Amino acid sequence: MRDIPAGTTEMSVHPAPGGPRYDVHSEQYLHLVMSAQLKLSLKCFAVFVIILLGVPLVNYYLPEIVNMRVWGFTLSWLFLGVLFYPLTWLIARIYVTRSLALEDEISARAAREEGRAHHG
Amino acid sequence: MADIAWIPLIFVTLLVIATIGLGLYVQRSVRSTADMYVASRSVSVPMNSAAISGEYLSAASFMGVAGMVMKFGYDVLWYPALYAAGYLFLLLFIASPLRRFGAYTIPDFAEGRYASPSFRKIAVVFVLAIGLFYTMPQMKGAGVALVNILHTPYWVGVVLVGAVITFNVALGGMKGITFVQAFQYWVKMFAISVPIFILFAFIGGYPGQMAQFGNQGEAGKALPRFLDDHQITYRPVAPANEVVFPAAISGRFVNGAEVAVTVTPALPPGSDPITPEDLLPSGLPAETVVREVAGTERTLYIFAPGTEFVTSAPVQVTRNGEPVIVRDPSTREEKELLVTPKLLLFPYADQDRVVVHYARGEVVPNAPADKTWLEPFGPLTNKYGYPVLYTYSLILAIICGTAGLPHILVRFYTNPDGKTAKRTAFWVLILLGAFYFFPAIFGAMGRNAVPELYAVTGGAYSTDSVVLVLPKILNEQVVYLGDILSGITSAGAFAGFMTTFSGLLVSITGALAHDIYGNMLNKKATPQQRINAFRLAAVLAGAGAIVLGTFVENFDINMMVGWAFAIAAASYFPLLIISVWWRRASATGAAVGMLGGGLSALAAIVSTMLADKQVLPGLAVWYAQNPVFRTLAEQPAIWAVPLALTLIVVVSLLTPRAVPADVHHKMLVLHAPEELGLKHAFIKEEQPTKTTSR
Repeated sequence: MRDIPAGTTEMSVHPAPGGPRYDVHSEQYLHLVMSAQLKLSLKCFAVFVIILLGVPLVNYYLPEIVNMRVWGFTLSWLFLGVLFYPLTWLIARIYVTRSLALEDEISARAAREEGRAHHG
Repeated sequence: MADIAWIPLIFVTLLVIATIGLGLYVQRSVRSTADMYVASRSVSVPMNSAAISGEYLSAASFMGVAGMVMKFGYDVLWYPALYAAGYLFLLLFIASPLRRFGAYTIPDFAEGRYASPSFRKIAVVFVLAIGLFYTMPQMKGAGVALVNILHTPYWVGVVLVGAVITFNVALGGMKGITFVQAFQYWVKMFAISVPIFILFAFIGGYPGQMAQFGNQGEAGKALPRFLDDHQITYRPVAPANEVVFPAAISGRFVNGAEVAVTVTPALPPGSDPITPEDLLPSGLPAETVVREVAGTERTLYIFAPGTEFVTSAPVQVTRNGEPVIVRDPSTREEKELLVTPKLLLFPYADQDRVVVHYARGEVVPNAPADKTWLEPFGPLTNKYGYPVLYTYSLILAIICGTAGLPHILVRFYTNPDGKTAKRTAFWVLILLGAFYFFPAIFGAMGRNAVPELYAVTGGAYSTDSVVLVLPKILNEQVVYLGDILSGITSAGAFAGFMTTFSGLLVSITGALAHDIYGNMLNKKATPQQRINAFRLAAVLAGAGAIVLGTFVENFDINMMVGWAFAIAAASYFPLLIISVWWRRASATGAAVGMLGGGLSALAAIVSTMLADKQVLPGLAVWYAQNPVFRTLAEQPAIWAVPLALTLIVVVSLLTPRAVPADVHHKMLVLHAPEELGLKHAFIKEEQPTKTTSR
């Protein structure tokens, strides 16, 4: 995973062409690194929060739906006892893939800036 | 008493030998303090994710979750689901920045992030407190498990597990236990899954088991019934001697009993009295005695040995002759209030326990009906009438607690870099999810196949032992098959005690040797002195845990784990999440928030215990009248976590001078990829024995 990926992710840290150049020790750079990662974390977390806040409410207000029998289970049991695990795996998978790509991009970008600083 | 259970003994012995052997094998390559504290930060992702999972899956996960699912039903599914999902939280917000900071212990992080040596002292206290509360249940579990297998005295299991793990930790530190924990994760995964698949083959699959529980109309009122004649032993210790009879049930006091007759739930004030004669229509003996039970004087009826009894069906509560109407908090339907008979059993004459015989086909005492068991907001979350509030607080406690357990967090320091920390957290989520799928199946199968475990609510033969007892039903199908599978699950339970205790011991030892000795008492210690301090601290902490462990035989396992989670959720979790993501956090703010949140959560939980044990009877009465506060005190996360976060933010804004001067650089170290070369690890490695993977 040391290779620097060529592609960009959804939340690219590339500045617009001709945009400002950042020193890795600068405020802007820190802001860039933190906010890109934080945005990604919050997006994934939002899905998770909706599930955690929503399940008790659905259980409470729609008992006739969550207590329906499906394949021996009730819907609520099937979700929390079985399907919940693969769902967390999916969110985690999306996060890890994007987050690592983001880090590679940040490093690649910093390396380029450094190269420019040295040669230019 | 009964014979030694040879087959489980063999499995447990093999596991102990393998554990010691692995420890000795790894010890040869341990050379530096970095090895002892963080395994030289060179643990690979597959090894580390298995080790973290192995450390996390305690006996409470292995036996307790299955037992609680069997006892309470749907609501308990939140525990395994969130025990696993807590790592999603850790992955999203904490794992990688924490690793990038490059400390040895969590107090290191607290001091380093805020440049405040006094903060380390506060942090150390919480590491030790959480470690202690989490260690005792492991010790108790080991003692009780060995009582079941070998019929040894309780202390033997405590000393055995304590000694083996202390030996491993003292020899190899973090490096030594990493291999053992990874190995034991797979032992536990094997032990929880294989017996289930074999049980599926004989008694039907998961959907088939679930289909046996009704939730529509009359089918939802079904109660588990004894599948055979059973003699159930009740020891005179609360709550094991409190028996609730949810239907008309007949039984026989084999060796007699002194019985207090009462109802559950308690009668609301002003209702017409319900007499013991109403509750035991089979008749009451003339002979009685008055004794003090939990602070109140009660009349005990003395049943001679061999007396038969029949309890009444649930009794309607009336006030001035009119039925009392209540609103069911979970279904929101108006209904007539019914109370069920509850007997408190005490030994007869010179006996030391009460034995009750129940015939095949009788309803099992203490069991919830199918519908309440199967559907949300059942007996666990609805016990004080605020099921949704209870559920949310439980969710918050487990998620934030998992992300704040210092002995788990410290394992993330063993990753080579921040990226591998993320991958490790991801794989931990996979490994834990795969494991936690299974205990609920044991719970559901147990309700169908070994309902007699409901008959006692505590102790070695309650629902807590379903993982050990359920496989034995296969002995009737294939000779020894049940014993072998039960041996496998026993070994899994033992692996639970050992891995969790080993992680806790490293965490406690780190706090003593690194934070207290190395950073407070003797800052100029040589590397060799530091290694010696680690080994000495491990032996002292291990010995201390063994001694304390012998005193907790009658403590409730789940209760103490709950304390640890609540304190972690309200102290370390707010500290970490704010320290990692908010630049304006000040040392004062973080310390005040951590102390305020952690101590108030602890105080709330201790208050419920003091009320329950009748130490503060006034408080017990007040909690009974104010069930909202009772719910909030028992599950404090829902207010304690926001309290801690608010304190940190408000106090930080008021004390801007206590924000470290170089916070900018610290945030860069936390968040920037290592390739940029910004990293200056908080701990300078003194004598690296080998290069890490970088």
